[in-house]
Amino acid sequence: MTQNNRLQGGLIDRSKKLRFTFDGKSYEGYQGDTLASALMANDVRLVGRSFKYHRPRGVLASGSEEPNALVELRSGNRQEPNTRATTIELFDGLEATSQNRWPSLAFDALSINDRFSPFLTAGFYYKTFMWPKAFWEKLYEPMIRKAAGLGRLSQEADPDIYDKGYLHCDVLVIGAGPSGLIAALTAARSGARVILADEDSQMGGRLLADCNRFEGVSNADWVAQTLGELASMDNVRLLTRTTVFGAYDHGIHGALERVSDHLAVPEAGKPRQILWRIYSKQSVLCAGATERPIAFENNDRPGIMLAGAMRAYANRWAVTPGKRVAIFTNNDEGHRAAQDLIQAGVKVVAVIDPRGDAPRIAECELLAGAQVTDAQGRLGLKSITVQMADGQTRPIEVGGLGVSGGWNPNVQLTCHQRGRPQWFEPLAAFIPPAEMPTGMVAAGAAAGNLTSFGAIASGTNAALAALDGLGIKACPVDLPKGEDNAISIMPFWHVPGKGRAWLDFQNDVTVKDVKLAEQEGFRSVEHLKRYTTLGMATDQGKTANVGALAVMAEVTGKSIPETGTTIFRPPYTPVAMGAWAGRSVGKEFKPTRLTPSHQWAEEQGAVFVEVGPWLRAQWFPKAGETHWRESVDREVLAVRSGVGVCDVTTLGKIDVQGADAAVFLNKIYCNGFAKLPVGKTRYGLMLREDGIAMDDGTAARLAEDNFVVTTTTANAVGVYRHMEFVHQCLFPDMDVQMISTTDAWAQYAIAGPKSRELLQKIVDDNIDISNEGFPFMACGEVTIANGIPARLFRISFSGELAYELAVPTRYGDALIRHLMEVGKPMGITPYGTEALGVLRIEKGHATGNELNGTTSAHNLGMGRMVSTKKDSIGSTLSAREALSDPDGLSLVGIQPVNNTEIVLAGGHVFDENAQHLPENDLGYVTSAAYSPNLSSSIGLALVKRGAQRLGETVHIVSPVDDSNIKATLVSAHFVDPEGERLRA
Amino acid sequence: MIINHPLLGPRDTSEFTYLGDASLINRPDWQSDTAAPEFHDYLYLRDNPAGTHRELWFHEQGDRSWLVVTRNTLTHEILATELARDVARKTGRGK
Amino acid sequence: MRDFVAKTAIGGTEPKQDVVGTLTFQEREDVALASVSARPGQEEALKTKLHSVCGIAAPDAGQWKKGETSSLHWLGPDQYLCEEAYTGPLELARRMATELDGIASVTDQSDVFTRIDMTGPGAIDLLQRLTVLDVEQMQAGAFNRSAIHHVGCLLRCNEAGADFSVYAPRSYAISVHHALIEVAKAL
Repeated sequence: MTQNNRLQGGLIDRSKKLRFTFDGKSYEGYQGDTLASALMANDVRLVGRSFKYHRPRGVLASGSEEPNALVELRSGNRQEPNTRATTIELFDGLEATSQNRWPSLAFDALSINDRFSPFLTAGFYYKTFMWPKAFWEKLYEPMIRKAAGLGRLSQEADPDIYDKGYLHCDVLVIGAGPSGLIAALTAARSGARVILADEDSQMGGRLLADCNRFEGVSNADWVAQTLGELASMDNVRLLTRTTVFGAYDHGIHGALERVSDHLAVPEAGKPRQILWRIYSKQSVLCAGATERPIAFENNDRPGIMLAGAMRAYANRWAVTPGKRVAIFTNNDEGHRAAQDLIQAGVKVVAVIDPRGDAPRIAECELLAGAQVTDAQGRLGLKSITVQMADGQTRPIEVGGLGVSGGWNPNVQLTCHQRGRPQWFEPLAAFIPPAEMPTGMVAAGAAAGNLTSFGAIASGTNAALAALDGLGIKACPVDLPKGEDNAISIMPFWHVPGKGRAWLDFQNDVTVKDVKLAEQEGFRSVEHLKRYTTLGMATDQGKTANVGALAVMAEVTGKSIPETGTTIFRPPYTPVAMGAWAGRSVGKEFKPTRLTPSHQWAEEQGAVFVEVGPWLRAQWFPKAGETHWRESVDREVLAVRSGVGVCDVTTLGKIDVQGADAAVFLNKIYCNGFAKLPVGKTRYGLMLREDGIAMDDGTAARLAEDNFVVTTTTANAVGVYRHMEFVHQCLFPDMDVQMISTTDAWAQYAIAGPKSRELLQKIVDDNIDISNEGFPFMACGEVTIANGIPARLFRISFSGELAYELAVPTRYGDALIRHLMEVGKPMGITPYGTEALGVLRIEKGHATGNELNGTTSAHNLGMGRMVSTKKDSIGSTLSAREALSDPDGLSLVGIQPVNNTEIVLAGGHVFDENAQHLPENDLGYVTSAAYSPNLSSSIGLALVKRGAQRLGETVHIVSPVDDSNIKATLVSAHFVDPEGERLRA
Repeated sequence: MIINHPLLGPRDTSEFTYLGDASLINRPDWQSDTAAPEFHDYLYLRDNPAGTHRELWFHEQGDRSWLVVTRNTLTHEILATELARDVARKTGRGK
Repeated sequence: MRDFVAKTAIGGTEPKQDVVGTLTFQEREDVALASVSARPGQEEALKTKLHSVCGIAAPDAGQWKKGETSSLHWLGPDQYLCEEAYTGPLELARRMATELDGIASVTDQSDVFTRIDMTGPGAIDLLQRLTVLDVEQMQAGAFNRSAIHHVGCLLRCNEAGADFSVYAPRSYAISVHHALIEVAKAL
C-alpha cells in the first residue's frame, strides 16, 4: 500500500524509508514517523478495540496521553503490551499487533458486548456477578478477564538490560516546549547546573506541531538555535526520550529515559531504559497541556481525533486521517488548527463551533452555534451529523474530524505531594495548586499560559524565580516576539442526546455512566472514579477526567470546583516493571558475599546455601554419595570422632576498644564481662530493651581495653547498629570505640577430638596450645605458617574439643588448603552449615530458630545469666512476670519414641491425651535434625514447664503434613551433657 | 527524602536506617524505685504525631552517626538535624 | 619467611586489571589500611599526633588528604582511615597503635576493604549509574561512604571527573567489581 494520506512538508526524513508490519500486513513509513503517523499515512484508521465494549477505535491524540491506540509491540521475548502507537518511534522492521480482539481487528466476536451495552454500564461487575459466590473465581472472573482487557504479556523473560542512575542539578526543567527551552536557557546562562528533560524524541513541544509562532524566526529555527546553545554548555544536560514521571520529597524526581526503545534491539550491552533519580534544588514544570475532547454520540469512531493532534500530524509528520476533514471546537485554537490544515493541503470542509459568536479564523466554512450530534462509519469515520444554529441537521461527509474541547494544563506532577489543582475560569481548566511541591514552579501551558508569548515569558520568569531560590544572579535572555492572543473558550463538555457519548475512551466511560453513578449515589469524585473506572489504566484519564467531572457538576447542579478533582499519583506515564527492577534480576537480584574458602569449596564440589547475603558451603558431597543426608551424616560423625573444619568467617566481628570497653559490654550483654580476664573468651547473650533475646555470640578479651565481639551471621549489621545506638545515644561519654572487622579475618572452626593434634602442626613451633597452656575458652594471638599473625579461640559450637582460628582474609584460601593437607593423615573432613546445624542441635545450642524474637533468656534456659547486680539493656524488663514465668516456655530436647519417626520443626507439642486444640498447645519444635550419633531424629522445642517435664511423653503434631508422632521430652544436651569433651 | 547531615551536608535517606522517636535517648535509671513502670513507659508509650516529630536515624551507609532529625511527618519537611550524641549529652547522659 | 600465598579479593594471585572502553579498573592489593579513633578528650591530640606521624593534617568531614607515604581519610566523627603501602599483615595497624598509644584506638582494616581504582573519561557516567552521591561535584580530596550496587563502599576522588578509588568490602569485592564492569559496558 502507498502512503495515500501523506502530505507535503513535515519534520520527517523522506530519504529514510522504513518498513513495518501491523497485524501482519506490511507498510512503509519514514524516519521521524511514529507508528501512529505511519499508520495514518497508509490510511489505517482502525487500530484497536475498546476495553469493555470492544468498539472499533482509532488514534485520538499525538502524544503520551493516547487512550485508544494501544498495541503489542515487537514479538517473542521482547513483546510488550499496551504501548502507545502515538509515542512509538518507527524503526525498520517494527512489528505491531492490535489488542483485545478476536479473531481479527475488523471482525471482533466480542464486539457483541457493544450490543449488550445496556447491561454493561458502570458498576456492572458489582451488580451482575454477585451470586452464586462460588462462580466468581471459576467462571465470572476468568470470563471477564478474557473479554475485557488490554494486551498480553510475552510470558518470557525480558532479554534486555535496564539500568538505574542518579543525577544532580540546580534546576530541573521538565518539558522542552517553548517555556521549557527558555527556562533552561535562562537558568543555564546564569550558570546554574541544568537538566532539561522531555519525553519526546525531539525537543520543541508544541513548536513542532503548530504553525510558526514567533516573529521573524520559524519554530524550527528558534528551537534549533536554543537547543544548539544549550547543548554547547557544560552545565547543561539534555535528556530526550525521558519522562519525568514523579515529583518526590525534597526535589527528588523520578525519570525514565528510553535509551533504546526507538531501536529494533538495543545495541549490544546497552540498556533498553534507564530509571533516573534526579536530585534538583529547584524544578520548573513545563509539561504543557493536553487537549480534551467533546462528548457526542459515537464520538469514538476511528478518524475522530483531537484537533491539536490532527494539526500535529499535518505539521510535524505530514499526514492526515482523511482527505476531507472537519473541526469541532469550542475555542479559538481549534480554528487555528483548521487554518494550519488548510495550509498543509488538507480539505477542511467546515469548522463547527457551538459559540454563536465564533470568530472567523480559518479560510473555510464556519458553522457558528452548531454542534456535531452523531458520527457514522463503524470501522472508520464516513460522515458526521451537524445540528445547525437554526436547529436543522446537516450531514457532512468527512474522513476525519478534529475535536477541541479546550486544554488541560498538565498539572500531574504538582499533585504528587498532595497539592490540589485550582479551577481557572478563563481557561475552563485546572491549573497548578497554590501549594506546590518544594522548589517547583510551573510555567508555560502547564501553568495555564496557552499563548506562545505567554509561555516563553512565564518560562523565563519561572527560571528567574528558581535562580532567586538558589541565590544565583540571573542573566536575562531576550525573548522573541510572538503571538499573544488571549485564549477564548466557551465551556462545552458534551452534546445533549440519547446515545452513548464517550468521555473516557480507554475505560469505555460515557456521559450516561457518569449520570448513572450520580443516580446511585457515587457523587464524590473519588467514588465516581472507582465506580465507573474513569481515569484508570495506562492513560490515567489525561483526556477524560475534566470532562467527566464537568458532567458530574452539571447533573449535581454544582460548579466544577465544588465538585472537586482527583489528584494524581506517580507515575505520569507507565513505567515498566523491568525499569524498577534494574539489574536486580535473576542471579544478580542482590550482591553476594563470598567466604575466603569459597573458591576452594567450589573446587571440592560443595553445595552452597544462601545465608543472608552470604553463600556458604552447605555440605561437601563425596563421590558415590547420592543423598545429602549421606554427606551430612558423614561430616557430623567425622567431627565427633576425628576432626572437621568449617568456614565461620560469616559471623559478625566487631573490634571494641577503649578504657570503658568492658563496662560497655556489661551494658550490651545481660551477663557480666567486667571480670573476664585478658586471654579469655565468654559467651554473651544480648537482650532487647524489652527483655527478649536479640543475639548471642562471644566476646574475647585480647587486652584490658580490647575485645573482639562476635555476632550471628544474620544479625551482624543490626548488632553493630545497636551497639552504636547504646554508645552514641545512651552512654555518649563512655571511652569506647568500635569498628566492624567481619571482612578482616578468615575464620575456621576446627572441631573434634583430634583438633588439637592438627593445630599443633599448624601453629608455629613456639606456641603452647596444650590443655593447660591454652584451656577451654582461652584466646590469644598466635602465628602460623612461619610468622603469619593469627588469632586462636578455644570455643566450641559443636560440643567437641574445638578451636576457631583466624588469619587476615587474604590468607584464608591458603589456610584452608594448608589445614586440609596437614590434616589429611587424621582424616580431616570439611563440613558445611548443615552438619554445623546437626552438631549444635545435638549439643542443645540455641540459634536464630530459638532466638526468634519471641523468647526471653528464661525461655532459653539462660534466665540465671541475666545479672541483677548491674544494668544492661533489657535487664529491667526481662524481670517481668511473663518473661520469667517458671510455667512458661523452656528449651528442651525432643526424641521420638519410635526412632524411625521424624520430628519436624514447626510441629506443636501436646500432652498425650489432650485434644489438639490451641488451648492445649504446650509449645513448638524450633529445630530438628537427624542425629547420626543417636541414630534418631531429634529436635529442640520450647515447651511450657519443659524443664520440669523431662521424661514425659508428648505428641508432636504438625498440621503441615498432618503428622502426629509420639516423643519424649529430654535434656536439650543430647551429646556430652557434662561438657567433658570440650574441656578435654 | 534528603537529610541534611550536620557534618556531611545533604545526604539521601537511602543511606540511613530509621529507628523511631528520639525519646529513646531518655532511658530511665535502672536503680529508680519505679524502674519497671518507667522502662515500660519509655519503651511502649512513644508519640507518633502527625506533624513535628523528633526521630532517630542512623547513617549506616555513611559515617555511622546516629542523628536526631526533626521532621514534619505530614509534609516530610526536615526542620533540624543534630548528632544524637550531642543531644544525649545535653540531656545529661554520660557514662 | 611466611609460607602462605595471599589471594586477592577478586580471587586471583595477581591484582585484577580490566579495561572497558575508556575506563581502566585496577585492583590494589598493595595498600594497608588502619582505622584510628580518638579516645574521648584526645580528639585534638590525635590530630596533632597524626600530623607528625603521617606528615599531613587530619582531614575534615567528607574529605581525605594525601601525604608522601600516608593518606588520611575521614571515616566518622574523630575517626580516620590511614592508608600506606602494604608491608605485611597487621604491620601498619601495629605501628600506628604504638605511635598513638593512649590517644586512639587502632584497628587493622587492610583486609576489610578492597581498593579498586577507576581511571579515565567516563568515570562520572559510570558512577552516576551506581551511587547516589553527586560525583560530578566531587573534587580531588572528596571521600565518602555510600552504597554502590547496594553495597556500602567508600568512594574517593583522586582527580575530579577522571580518577576515583572504590573501597569495597572484601567479601563483596567480586560482586562490586562485576557491577562496575557490567555497567561500564553499558555506557
